[in-house]
Amino acid sequence: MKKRSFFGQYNFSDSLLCKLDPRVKIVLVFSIVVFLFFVKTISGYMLLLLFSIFLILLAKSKISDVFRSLAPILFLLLFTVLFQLFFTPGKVVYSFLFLKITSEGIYLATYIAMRLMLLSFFTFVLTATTSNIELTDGFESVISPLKIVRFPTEDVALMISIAMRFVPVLFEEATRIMKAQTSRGVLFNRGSLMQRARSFLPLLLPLLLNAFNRADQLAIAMEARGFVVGKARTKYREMRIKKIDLLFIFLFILVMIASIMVRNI
Amino acid sequence: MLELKNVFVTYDPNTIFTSDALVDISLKIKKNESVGIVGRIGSGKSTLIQLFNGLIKPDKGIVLLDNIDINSKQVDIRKVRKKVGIVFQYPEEQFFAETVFDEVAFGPKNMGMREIVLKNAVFSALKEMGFSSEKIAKHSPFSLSGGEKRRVAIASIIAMNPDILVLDEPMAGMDFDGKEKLIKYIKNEIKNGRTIVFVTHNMEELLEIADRVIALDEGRKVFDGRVRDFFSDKELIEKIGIDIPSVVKIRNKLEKCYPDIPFCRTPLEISSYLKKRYRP
Ligand SMILES: Nc1ncnc2c1ncn2[C@@H]1O[C@H](COP(=O)(O)OP(=O)(O)O)[C@@H](O)[C@H]1O
Ligand SMILES: [Mg+2]
Repeated sequence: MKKRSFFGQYNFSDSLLCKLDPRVKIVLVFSIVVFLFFVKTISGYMLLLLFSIFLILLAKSKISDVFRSLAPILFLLLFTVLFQLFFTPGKVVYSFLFLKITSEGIYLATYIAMRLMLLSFFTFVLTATTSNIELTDGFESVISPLKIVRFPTEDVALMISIAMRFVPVLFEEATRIMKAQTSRGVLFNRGSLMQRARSFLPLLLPLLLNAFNRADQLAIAMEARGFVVGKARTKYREMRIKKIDLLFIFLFILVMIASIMVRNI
Repeated sequence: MLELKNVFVTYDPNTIFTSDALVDISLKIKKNESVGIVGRIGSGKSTLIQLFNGLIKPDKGIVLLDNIDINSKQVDIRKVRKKVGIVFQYPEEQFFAETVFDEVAFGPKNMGMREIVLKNAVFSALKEMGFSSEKIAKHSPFSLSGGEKRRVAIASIIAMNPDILVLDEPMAGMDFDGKEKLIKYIKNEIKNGRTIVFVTHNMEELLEIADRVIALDEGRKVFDGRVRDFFSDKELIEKIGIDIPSVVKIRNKLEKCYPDIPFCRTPLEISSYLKKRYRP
């Protein structure tokens, strides 16, 4: 375990996408992800796929990085696709023992696979080009209209930013505990499913306990420095929409329209 | 015997986080030695000790345990981990069992120790770490004091009866009393013939426990030799930013009047030398 990076971690490049306003990026990625569910043609998806690859390259990430970062959810993806493939009723095109593949199943499985893949690609671009601080600041700003209905937007944003801040810490801690228990003869990822499940208790329990301790300490440290829930705080960074942001908004709208209009082949 | 030959370790290669944690390290640790590893934070001490039982694999170079490459495919890594026991920094943070007994028995059980021998191993490990009463085994490990926790954590490694016991900053975060006890029990382990390797920032501890010092600086080995030679290398001491313990300073001052004063590790050793000299 000598790697520190995991799913779409901010890659600190100097790409064009890093310069975009985080609010614009959040809204654009969110809209295109929702939009994915309205595209009805394979050629539409192909167009979006090309677009997402273009963005990934623009973000100065490698396609191989994207796939590596997908590894943790690969199981979920495969399961969903296979489930659709085998359990959709309809016209049977191939059967083997009790498994039947229907043409509707093939159709649905392809669409689901496409959607999930594109969803991960676009979110990868967002998280790879936006630091955690920008993400939460942007998110807070995007949901700020909810203040009208007395939704505690600032506190929610702070909660999310703290949670994100601790992801790498917890990750490192998990590695540390795993190593310590490995030294005591645990072999993670080996043995029967039952054995594996049991080998995770010595990892999970200390991890949880330490996380609770840390949360306690953090709360005290924040209060000691004058933090009060619900009180307004000053912003350090100002966000401003620039020409380049407008350009990307235009580009996204263009791609979305094109992928709806394009005829099926 | 443990041997490292021209070992290199690099974290996160090809990213902006990349760092050469260890550069061309070669060393040998012989049976019955007690070795202290020193160096600034981030100098690679923890990385170095994790090589000893295969938790980290070298990017270049080899790690030999009794002349066998521990990272080769034929080697059963559990056997290696049984022979080289590592106590990590703040080991009590890895507690999870309901009772002290289960906590200490966890390692030996994983190593396949049989039930009859197990009980014996657990109680003798606890005893070695200074728990004379067997009642402690029924307590929850979380209910103990800081010093007791630390000693239980060390006992949980000793119960596997490793040939080499490796400790990463074993005294970190302990009070004076706890430290004193721990030093006593570690010295006992050495007397009983266990090979000890420990990481420390405290020079008094180093002086008291270690026969040999390995100093790291920015991933390179900058010193490997006897403790007394380590503290007389002024240039090196300055380079890695440590204080010479007052025992060594006083002894060196005394040496000007008493050229036959031996190397002393504790104030007690100095005073007993002086006593002997004046009241033979
Ligand atoms: N898991 C890790 N991932 C990436 N870099 C690491 C990791 N662990 C240690 N390092 C880096 O390797 C170097 C040596 O660290 P370490 O062996 O922990 O030093 P020490 O124990 O002497 O403080 C440091 O620069 C540290 O940042
Ligand atoms: Mg360390």
